[in-house]
Amino acid sequence: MKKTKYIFSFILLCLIGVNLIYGQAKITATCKYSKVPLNSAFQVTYTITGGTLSSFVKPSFKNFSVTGSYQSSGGGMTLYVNGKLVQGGDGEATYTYTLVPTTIGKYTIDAAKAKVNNEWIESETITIEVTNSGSTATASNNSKTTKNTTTTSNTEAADNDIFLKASIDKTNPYIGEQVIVTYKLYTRIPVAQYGIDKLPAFTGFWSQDLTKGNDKLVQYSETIGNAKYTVAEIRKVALFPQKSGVLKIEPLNVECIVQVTSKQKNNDPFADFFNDPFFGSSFFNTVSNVEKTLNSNALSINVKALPVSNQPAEFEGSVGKFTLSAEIDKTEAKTNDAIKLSYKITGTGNLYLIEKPDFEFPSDFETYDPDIKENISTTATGISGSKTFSYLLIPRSAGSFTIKPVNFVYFDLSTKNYVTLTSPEFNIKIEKGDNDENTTISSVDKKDIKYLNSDIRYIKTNNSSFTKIGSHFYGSLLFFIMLLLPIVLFTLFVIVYRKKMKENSNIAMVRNKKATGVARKRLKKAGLLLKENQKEPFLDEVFKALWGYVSDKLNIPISELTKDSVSEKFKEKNISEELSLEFLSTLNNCEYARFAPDGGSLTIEQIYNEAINIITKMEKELK
Amino acid sequence: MKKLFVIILLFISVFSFADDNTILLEKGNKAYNDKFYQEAINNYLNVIKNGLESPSLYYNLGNAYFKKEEYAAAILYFEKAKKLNPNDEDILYNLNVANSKIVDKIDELPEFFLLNWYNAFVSLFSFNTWAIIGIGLLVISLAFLTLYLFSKTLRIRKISFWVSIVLFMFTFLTFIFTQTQYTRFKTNKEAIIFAASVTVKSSPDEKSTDLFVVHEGLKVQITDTAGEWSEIKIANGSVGWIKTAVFKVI
Repeated sequence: MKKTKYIFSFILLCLIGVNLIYGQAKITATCKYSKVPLNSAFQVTYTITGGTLSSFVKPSFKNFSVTGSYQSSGGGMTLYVNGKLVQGGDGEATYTYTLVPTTIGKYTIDAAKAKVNNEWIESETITIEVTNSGSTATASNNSKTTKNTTTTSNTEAADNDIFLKASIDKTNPYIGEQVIVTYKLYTRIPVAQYGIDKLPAFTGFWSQDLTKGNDKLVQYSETIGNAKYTVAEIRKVALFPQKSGVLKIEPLNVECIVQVTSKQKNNDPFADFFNDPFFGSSFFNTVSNVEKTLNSNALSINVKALPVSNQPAEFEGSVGKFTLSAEIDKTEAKTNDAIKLSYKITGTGNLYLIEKPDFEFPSDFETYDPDIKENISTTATGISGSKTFSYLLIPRSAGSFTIKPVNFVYFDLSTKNYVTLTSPEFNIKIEKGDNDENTTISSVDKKDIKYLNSDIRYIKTNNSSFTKIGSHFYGSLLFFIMLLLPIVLFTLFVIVYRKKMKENSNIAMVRNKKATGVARKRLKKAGLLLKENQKEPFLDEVFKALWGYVSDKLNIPISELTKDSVSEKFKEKNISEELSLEFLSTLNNCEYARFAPDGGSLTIEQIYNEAINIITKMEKELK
Repeated sequence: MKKLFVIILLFISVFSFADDNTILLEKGNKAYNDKFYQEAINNYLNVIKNGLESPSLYYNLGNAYFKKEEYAAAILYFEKAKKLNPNDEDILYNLNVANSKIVDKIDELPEFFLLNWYNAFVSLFSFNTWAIIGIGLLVISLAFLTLYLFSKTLRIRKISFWVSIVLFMFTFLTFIFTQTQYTRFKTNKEAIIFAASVTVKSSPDEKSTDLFVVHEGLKVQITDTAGEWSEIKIANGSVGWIKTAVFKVI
């Protein structure tokens, strides 16, 4: 098509040199509409005919925004009569602007200026009324065209000459499965230009344009019915449904300019000159650019949900076919040496959605966020490639470390099942680096204990004992018993002890009082025995009287009575040494008289007197 | 041989007579260990249903509720455990952790420092423990008194006299602490808020002014009750009325 255009221009240029005199330069402003709704695009075309155009000044499109412009030359006609050139194609130049009104109101577009054959000419102005958006555009009834040729009705391209068709490669995919939508332009007429404003919003899909970057259009021929069409795949989009259910794909709108071969009636007076039966039909075929809006058909896709029953917990929505590879560049390193771990997922499917793996690195490793590299190719068949996550790990202390494997789960479309890929486990041995003395010095600083998590303490497994709810030791019967028991015991103890002591002291007193009496009685008895001259019982009685007296008087138990204990007691009671000795010698004499066969040095009368004497003295002393 | 058999049989029968409630508690502990927290809670609650309590039981129950992230219930049972055993480190620690999970953070009203010390000292033991300490002191002081009364050595008599006097004073003080703790236990009604968010009103009336909002897990003091409303006091001294249904008494 371009080629023909070039040839055409070449011819035109040759003809310009001829520069026919009857050609009158003209500039025409054309607009199909007089009323345009807000924000809807329309086109204004300036056509310059009848001369060599050297410059063109476009009007200032105030209150409009220019969204597109194109210019073309050619379209003029060349006429040969009897082998002689009668009319040269004057080189029709057209400037077309696509305008979008920005505010409501009635506006006049200024005249465009053109320098044709070294003369400035001006077009007429165009008045456009901009209405509320939503209203329909009204065709201009007073067309501003002053074109000297009027096009006949068949300049409009027929619908079956050119149409747009959308197709999908599958209608019943799974969530996340790739669906390719192809927009094909079928045409039987040349297309000068086409433009896609924007792709429809693919709601419910994650989309990727596959034609982006591919300059070459796929073109081929296809015969539908009897007609042969040229087919161009103008747009191909890979869609990944994000939810289940019926999803609609909105139609695509394409604005295109087609070249329509139309029959033209020349109103030019010069043409009339030739317009006589001699020439037969005065119709000449000419090509004109016609603007056309094409809509594709709407599509609907029924998306299936992925099976839930056997879905692993680690599944994150990856659908397709993938392989996993994970590598580590060294398994033995020194502290502070960088270690690189790369984790790579390769395959076809929704690669874009793959999230970074959740590796658990040892806490002694300094880690950074991974460097993510996507090597994804968008070909006409869909999306494939790889996604690599590169981790940089810096071990800060020596030891053996393990990086646990991570799982990657995807839904395999060919087997309709979930596949779990597992990365290998890495064992890394870190030795202490030689050249990191600075860090070893700093690492001498004791580290604080790292608290990984805080949690409550564990339950108590040893139960002391249960108590009844609402019953307390304090105030209970047991409490009062325990409180009073020591007091009662103490009191009892004191009372009993006191009583006993009192009793004991009474006995001593009685004995003390009776001591003299008892001794007298014994001595009296001894006196009687003396008279009867019974030596043995007499001495016995005197002996008992002396011991008994001391025992009662000094409160010494009979069992403890010895000469030593008696002399000690005498000392305690402050009895003079003389008396003590006297008493003891009397005792000795008495004993001696009892056991000595000769009766001793003293007579029994003397012993009797001595005993009476000592008891009397004692009586005095102890008072 | 026969004798031995009889003895063994006797032992087995003694152990099989072990308290049903102890079995329930052990079942609960096992369930907790296996992370079946609801089962653990059910076992622990059955012991309480049987009318029994112990600090360990309340503590374990609080732990199980904490693991289920029911923090208000966890705080309630930790507080109950604390009431029975006020100076157990584990109970205090877990109560602190549970309190860090709740929404409200209230600055406590500062008290006169001497009063604070006194309160802290008295709160060191529950009234039951204080009572036991008191009885122990009484026995020791009586022993010294006996020594004073019956010793024949003057020095021992002198020392034991003064020791017994001092010990009697301590005994007396201890019983004052016991009574203080007991009065607090009986009259100081504290409760934990169980509703997610409660607007505290100025009077026991739905239409009265909104004063402030408290959230789940906060400990409040119940100072008065009128119908289905209760007057509460929070740690910073603010007072207001809430419905009795939104809290549980410790």
